[in-house]
Amino acid sequence: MDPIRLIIVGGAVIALLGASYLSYYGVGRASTDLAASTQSIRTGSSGSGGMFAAFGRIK
Amino acid sequence: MSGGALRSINCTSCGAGLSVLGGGRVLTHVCGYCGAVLDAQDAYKVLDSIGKRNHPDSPVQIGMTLTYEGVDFTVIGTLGMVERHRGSEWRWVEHQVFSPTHGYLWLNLEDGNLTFTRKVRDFDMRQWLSPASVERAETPPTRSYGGQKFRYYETTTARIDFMEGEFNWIPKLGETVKVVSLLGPDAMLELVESTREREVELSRLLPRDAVARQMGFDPAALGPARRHPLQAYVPLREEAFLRKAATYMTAAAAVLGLLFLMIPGRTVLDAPAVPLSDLPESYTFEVSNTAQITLVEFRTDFENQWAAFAAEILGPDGQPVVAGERAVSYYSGRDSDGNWSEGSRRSNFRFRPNATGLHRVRLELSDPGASNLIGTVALRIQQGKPTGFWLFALAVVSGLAGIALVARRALHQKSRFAGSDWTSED
Amino acid sequence: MPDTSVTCPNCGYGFDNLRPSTRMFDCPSCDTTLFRDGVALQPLGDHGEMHEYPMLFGLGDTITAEGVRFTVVGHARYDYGRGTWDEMWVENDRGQGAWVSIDEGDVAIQHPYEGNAGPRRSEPPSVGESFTYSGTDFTVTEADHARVVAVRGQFPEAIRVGDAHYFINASGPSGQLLSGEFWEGGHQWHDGTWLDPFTLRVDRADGSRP
Repeated sequence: MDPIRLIIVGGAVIALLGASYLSYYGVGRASTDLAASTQSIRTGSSGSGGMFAAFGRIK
Repeated sequence: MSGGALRSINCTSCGAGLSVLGGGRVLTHVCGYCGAVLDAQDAYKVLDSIGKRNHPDSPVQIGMTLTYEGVDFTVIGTLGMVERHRGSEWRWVEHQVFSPTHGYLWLNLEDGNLTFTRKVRDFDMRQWLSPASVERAETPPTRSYGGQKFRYYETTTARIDFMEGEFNWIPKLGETVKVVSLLGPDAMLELVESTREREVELSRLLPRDAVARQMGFDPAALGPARRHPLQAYVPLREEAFLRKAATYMTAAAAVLGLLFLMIPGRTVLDAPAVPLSDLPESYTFEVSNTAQITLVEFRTDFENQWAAFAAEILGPDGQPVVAGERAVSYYSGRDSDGNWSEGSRRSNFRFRPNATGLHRVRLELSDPGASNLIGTVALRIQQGKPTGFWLFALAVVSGLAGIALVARRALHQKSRFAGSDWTSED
Repeated sequence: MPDTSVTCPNCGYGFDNLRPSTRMFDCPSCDTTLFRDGVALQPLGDHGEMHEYPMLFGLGDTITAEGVRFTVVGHARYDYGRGTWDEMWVENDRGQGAWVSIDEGDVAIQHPYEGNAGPRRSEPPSVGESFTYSGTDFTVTEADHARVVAVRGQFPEAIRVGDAHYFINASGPSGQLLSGEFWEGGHQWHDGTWLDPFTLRVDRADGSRP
């Protein structure tokens, strides 16, 4: 097989392997609109803070 | 067929020496000096005279030789051709060429391009196409020849404006022919109609520079080459292979993407449904996979209802890892068009855990006062969820690449007909 | 079954490859043509002057026409006043033969009509005249006198240098050919097909590529 075909096939294999890797590990696919804690969500602030964040209540 | 070596004769009108380069089938010899038209079959008796006329613009000279498909041809005659139409004028040159084994063909120069024309005898004349038929046709007419398809390209009314040298017929100055040309994959099929007869010819484009050098003149003397409809499509190196590779990659990526999408992941929390009025609720779940995405899903039984949920996840150290808010709304009903629904009963967010071990999740309403407190919600958390995203993205990209390659060829095919005189109106 | 081995009555040259169909052949040693009548060999005259001229194929070469491989067995040259053309007698491996005429790139394979087949006319039509044969309209494109000037090789009939006939060539609408030869006391029509010199497959006798 001549070299350029090898390059094409090689490139395709690398692309597939790469996309498979990225997909398997979900790279960059975690949700981006998440906050550090629900306190932040409720008050619109960022970072943890307040008593509620310090411990979870288990019913 | 003539008997022997290179001959020359003297013009019976002006005495000039003329080389005889053609064979026994030459009928006419036009003297390049005085314009006398001599009968090559009857002691070069003068039949007519075109007088002294300006040579057409062509670096191809009588006596030059070229090789076509391994056969040597000698240029024996020159015709200056012209077409006049609605005030415009087009000029080109047709050179008669001769080979003792392959007969009489034509070398043409038009707009800087060299073409080679030969007569074909096995065209089915019942398939003849006249300019009138072309006018009447709704779509460009097509014809088949030699297993190839030819599509209408143009109609030309050509007249002879200049003659010099030897010809295997009797050309007349001012004589017109109507030519209907059809473009095929690598040749132009020409249906030529003169007052006396109908002939079918096939023309091919010659490699301009190589032929010019072989004949012994500078290719630049041909003038700038205008784009010719027979100019071959120049594929990218390994274009067919690239196209195949793109097709396979698209298919493989799409299939893999679907596969990855369908992998269920491991459920680490499958909480029972709780009424909204019972929120907030807390649960624990075990994290063992920090490499892949964890999916947190809010599953409701909503019917015409809306709510905003928040889930805060604390790590084994009790510190918040992540908090996500999602709105869930689902409405449905029935109207004159049938059943309808809007929204979804489920929503989710994804995060990547940064530690293994026992995690806690607290599920609550973002704004308890605003929500309708009927309905239930069940929290489900799954580990090791792959995405199909990157593979689908690859499928799209390679699919587009494949389409681009096909488009490149299709665009070239379309542009070949750019010079066609076909119009769909009138 | 005629002998394949004979000797020239003129000079004693030995032939050992005469074909069963051969009735006439030329002796390369003494330049005479010989006619085979049963077992007797009769000299017919000189084999004529054959000038060197570039030809698409020649004696001993093999061509493929109408899907059949033919060997070129005989070569006769005719003069028609304004020039000459060549008639090649070719035979396939079953001994069936045909004529292939070559005239400056115009190459045609022609089969003589046998018995009652062929156009009925025994008088030649004129140039420009049209006639119908077997449902096809033919127009006469050429008519002239021809004379044999040279013969080489083997032929199925007697062809003498100096023999003359009148010929007409007629073309059908899609490349069909009909040619007729007319002479004192006889005529022969031929059914013909054009061959393309660019695509005609020629295998040279010496094995070289054309």
